[in-house]
Amino acid sequence: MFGWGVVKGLGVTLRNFVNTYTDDVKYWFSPPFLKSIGDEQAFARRQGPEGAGLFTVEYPEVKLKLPENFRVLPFLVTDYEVPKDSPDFDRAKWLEQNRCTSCGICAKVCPPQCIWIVRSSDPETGKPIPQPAEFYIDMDICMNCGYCAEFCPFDAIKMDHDFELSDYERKVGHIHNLERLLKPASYYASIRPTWYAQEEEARRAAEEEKRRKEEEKKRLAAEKAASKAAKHEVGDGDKPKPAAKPKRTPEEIKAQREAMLAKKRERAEQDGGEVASPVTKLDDLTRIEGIGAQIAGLFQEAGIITFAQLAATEVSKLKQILTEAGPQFQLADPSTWPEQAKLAATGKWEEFEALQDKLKGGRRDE
Amino acid sequence: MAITSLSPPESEVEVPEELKGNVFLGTLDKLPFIRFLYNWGRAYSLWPLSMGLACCGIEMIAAGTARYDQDRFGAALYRATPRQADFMIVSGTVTKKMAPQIIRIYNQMAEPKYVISMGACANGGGPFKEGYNVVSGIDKYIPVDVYIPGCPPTPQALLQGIIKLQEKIRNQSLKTVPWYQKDQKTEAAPVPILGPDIIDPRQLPSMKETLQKVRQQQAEAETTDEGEQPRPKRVVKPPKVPTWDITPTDEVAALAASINQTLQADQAVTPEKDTLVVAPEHLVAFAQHVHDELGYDLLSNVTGVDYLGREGERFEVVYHAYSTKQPDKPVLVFKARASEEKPELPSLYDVWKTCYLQEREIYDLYGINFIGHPNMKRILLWDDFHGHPMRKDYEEAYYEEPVKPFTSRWPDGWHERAEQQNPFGKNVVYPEDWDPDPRMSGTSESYLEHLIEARDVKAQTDFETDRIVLNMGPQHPSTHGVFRMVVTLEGETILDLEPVLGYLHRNHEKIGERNGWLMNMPFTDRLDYFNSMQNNLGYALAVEKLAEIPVPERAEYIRVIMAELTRVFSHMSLLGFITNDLGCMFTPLFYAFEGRERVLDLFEEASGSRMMCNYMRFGGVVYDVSDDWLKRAETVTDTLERGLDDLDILITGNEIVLSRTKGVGYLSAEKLINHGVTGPLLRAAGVKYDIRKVEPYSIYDRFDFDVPTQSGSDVFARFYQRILEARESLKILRQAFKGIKDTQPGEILGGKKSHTVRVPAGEAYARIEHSKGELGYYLVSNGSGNPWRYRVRSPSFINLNALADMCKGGKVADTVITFGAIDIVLGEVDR
Repeated sequence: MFGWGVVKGLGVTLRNFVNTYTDDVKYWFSPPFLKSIGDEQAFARRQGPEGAGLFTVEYPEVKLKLPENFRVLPFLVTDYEVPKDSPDFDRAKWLEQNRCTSCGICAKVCPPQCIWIVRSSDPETGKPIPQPAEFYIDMDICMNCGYCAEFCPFDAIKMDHDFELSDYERKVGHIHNLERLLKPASYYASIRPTWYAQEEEARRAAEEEKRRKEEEKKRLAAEKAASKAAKHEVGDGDKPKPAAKPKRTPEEIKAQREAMLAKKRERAEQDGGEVASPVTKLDDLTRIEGIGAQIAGLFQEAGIITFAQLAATEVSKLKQILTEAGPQFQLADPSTWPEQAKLAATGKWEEFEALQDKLKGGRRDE
Repeated sequence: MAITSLSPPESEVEVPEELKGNVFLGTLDKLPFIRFLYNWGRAYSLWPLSMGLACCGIEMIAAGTARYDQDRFGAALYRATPRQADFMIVSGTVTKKMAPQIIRIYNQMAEPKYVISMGACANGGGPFKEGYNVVSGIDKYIPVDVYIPGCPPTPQALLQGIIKLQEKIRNQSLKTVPWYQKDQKTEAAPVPILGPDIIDPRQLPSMKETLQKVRQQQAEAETTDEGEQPRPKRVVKPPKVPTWDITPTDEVAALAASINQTLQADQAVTPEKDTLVVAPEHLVAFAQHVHDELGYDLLSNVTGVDYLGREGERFEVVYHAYSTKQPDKPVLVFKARASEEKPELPSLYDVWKTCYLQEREIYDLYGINFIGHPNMKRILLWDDFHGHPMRKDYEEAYYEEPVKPFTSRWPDGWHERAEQQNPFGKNVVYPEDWDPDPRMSGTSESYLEHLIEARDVKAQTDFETDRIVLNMGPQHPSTHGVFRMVVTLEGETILDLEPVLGYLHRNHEKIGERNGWLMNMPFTDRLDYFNSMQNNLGYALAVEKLAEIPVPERAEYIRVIMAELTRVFSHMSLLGFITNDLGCMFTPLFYAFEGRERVLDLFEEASGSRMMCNYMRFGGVVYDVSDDWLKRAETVTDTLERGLDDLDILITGNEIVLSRTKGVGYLSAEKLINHGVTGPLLRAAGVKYDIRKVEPYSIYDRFDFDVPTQSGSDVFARFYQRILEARESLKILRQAFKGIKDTQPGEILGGKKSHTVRVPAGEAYARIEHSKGELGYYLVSNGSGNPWRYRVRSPSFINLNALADMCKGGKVADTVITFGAIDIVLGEVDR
């Protein structure tokens, strides 16, 4: 019959209309009997996979339950829990306990490049400190992809759940700086409880491991120091040490730095991410022909940690460092090092290698 | 209630000088009740003008459907016209090509009018900000009242934005609102002009001076900086030109020899690895031979590559041809090369009609001229646009470095907006020799020209009537986004139709070549924003092919589940949209979107985002799914089947739908193949060609499913084809839910997880059966962390080749549904 198709279609809409009521009655009479049809449980059922009938969520009175994995815009996690408006709030501590080490992985992996990070450095030595001096996210560029949180080795940057961000202006409010980005770990735990629990568990295990390793390291360092001291006595008797030589041995300094950053590295390894601490971010100075591990250690002590810094240092200064360090470095000739470092710093690896081919043990063959 | 205070004593009311003549309003405003009533009425009957430009537009539609029910706020009577609209929701990426239209429509709205800017793109350019065709925020031209951040904001976020707007309206005072000011005339927003780049008419008078100043500064900087070190920011090593071993395989060498013999030329074809390099003078003969004799009837992909810095010819055009008659024939890849001095190649339009759009795109982006093409004009950009942006030496306004990550972000990343570094404060760059004329008008010349040209088409017929050129879109409710058709009419009959694209051209490929390999993954989400999972899958497959990354069993199953769930709701949504186009407003769309919402809930839980899932990684997926999730997904599959049944009854049997769609938009299978059409459209014409069967990827060879076909090749067949295919997808889903139980939970990623992915040098083309047809990714790697060439062969774009032929001879009303049945998504068409 012509028109029967239309009638059948109307039947579908009618059924959809009645569905809400039949579904309510069915639900009401299913055990346990006589439950409310307006409570949270009933709402969840209706929004769930097998729900039928009325599908509307009456936002803002009722809101959809957000899954833990939900992501809108990143924030930074700090372990400092005192709220900002409290009189006990200590800004220095708040920044210090920020988990970010400014390793820059998030800024590098960000597809639209909406993360800007300023790394802190020690005002005296100029060495980088694993803390961000400033951290910006431009949320007019951010595409909420979640890569920053996914690849952060320190659980420092996470994706937020707060989607109610409408605003009357954007020029100021849409650039999130460190102040705005930092949120306490307890907030993170509240929005992603299972993730948080897993990470805490992993961290506890890592810390246990770290303590064990550290003890071992200390033991080793002590042994080394002892053996070295003994060697010293046998070697050059009561010869006074050079005045400019640091009080701590390079080994000690290294061990100390290792200990400081081991914690973070352990955590990174536990998460399967890349190890990225400022130590690994230092340029590998031993790539320069003529610089071995020992000399590289000396330079690091002197604050020369990147190729760029090495390139900018005078040859005479390098010589001074070497002579001050002791007679064993007498043979080293730093005359070509800044030149090599300059190529390395600008990423001209091909030229760098070409230059090294010409050199013999770091010296020009004349 | 406040009647007593109707006439307050003079001394109490301080009437400002400019309001002396406006005592009435001033008095009214003093009355809390009147003011409340006035604002209450306005705030709760807000009629939106839907400026759905891109991905955010879909979430805007979702906010209007049953689950979020924007109507509860009195704010969902969506209209595509400025008439009676109270506020405009600019949702999505504002491109330079689209900006004049948006602003013109804004100017046509009556006061009081408001603007909501939805999503990161409309706010400030978003992830596409660096693109050469993207406006850094709609507030560069029109005032915005509420900004909704997010990419994309969820429908709930949009509702919150509307609440925010209502708050603003409620707090407005009659006395200060601009539209009651006596002397204050509201000025129209400046409509930008499309010159060599977008031009803000407000800047036109001073433009010449600014340009001169900039050039002078540049010249000065060049002279003074001599001898000094150049700025460290700009010293970047240029990317390495890709090279790989080109020793030909035995099969290709044999094929080349036989073709050379047939063409009677020694050097017509040279084999290179598994491809053939064809000499330009023999290209057409070669193509004819391949098409007629070898049976390669489907030219699926045509794309250009710029090998800047390579020895020999700079440009290369790559063709990928398949055979639908003998689907087991391997892909035929052939290339033709053009020099920098004379970038010209013969057009293959006469052999494969699919070259119509694809060659024009190459001309637009690479500047390679195809001799013999009937309409060699720009397609994605406008005619006056300066430069060919996909060339490697093209630098756009916000250019920083050739590849990401940028050095300015870390370790000294002091934030600075890209606009601040541009002398015009906008995403614009003007050519050096360009002389702006302050008398330039707001009408784009190419716009008029186009209309006139279309009118001249087929002007010589024996029956003399007035021909009308009708312009549909880019702001039109039935164009499914910002798409424009210029239609030449005689009476109601369509004589010719010309698609005009590029209103959502957001430079996906240019940005993609600057991105790292992994960075492109979230960008693929935004291609076909209905189908992020499948887009992810295609891209992951292409990179895995090139880098040979293994994928664990469980990840394969998860991928199939995600891809097929996507296919079901994508097809369902299409059924909803097409009935909308037929005039059956909303009911089927609401039912379809209910199914979509349930699937999106699953996606949101698994991946973290509803639409932009960014879920696949090279070698697997990013998060595992729980058993509970799988159980619910199974339930959703049943719910979807019920939904499909409903839609089937609602639409398929409906006599009105039948009489509107049967026999409309017919095109024969041969023509469809020649036009490069793939997917449900081709199968609705009886061609059993499904990539899941002919070239199974992932683990599709394990599932038992049919490839349904139809014989009608009209709108109805295309329509019904979707229902049949969605049912097959449900079949695959059920098998996948069974199969995944035997896999090990947690094993979801093969290879090492790292944020720096390096891919060995070479080229690869991977394709999948996307809901809309063949989605292919053509990649060229130079062995570094960034692709050298990143090309998306999008089904929506290439299927549009056939639109004109489908519509010719039909009526205007039929055009709408014929177009609707092709099922395009603009994000994928314009990229």
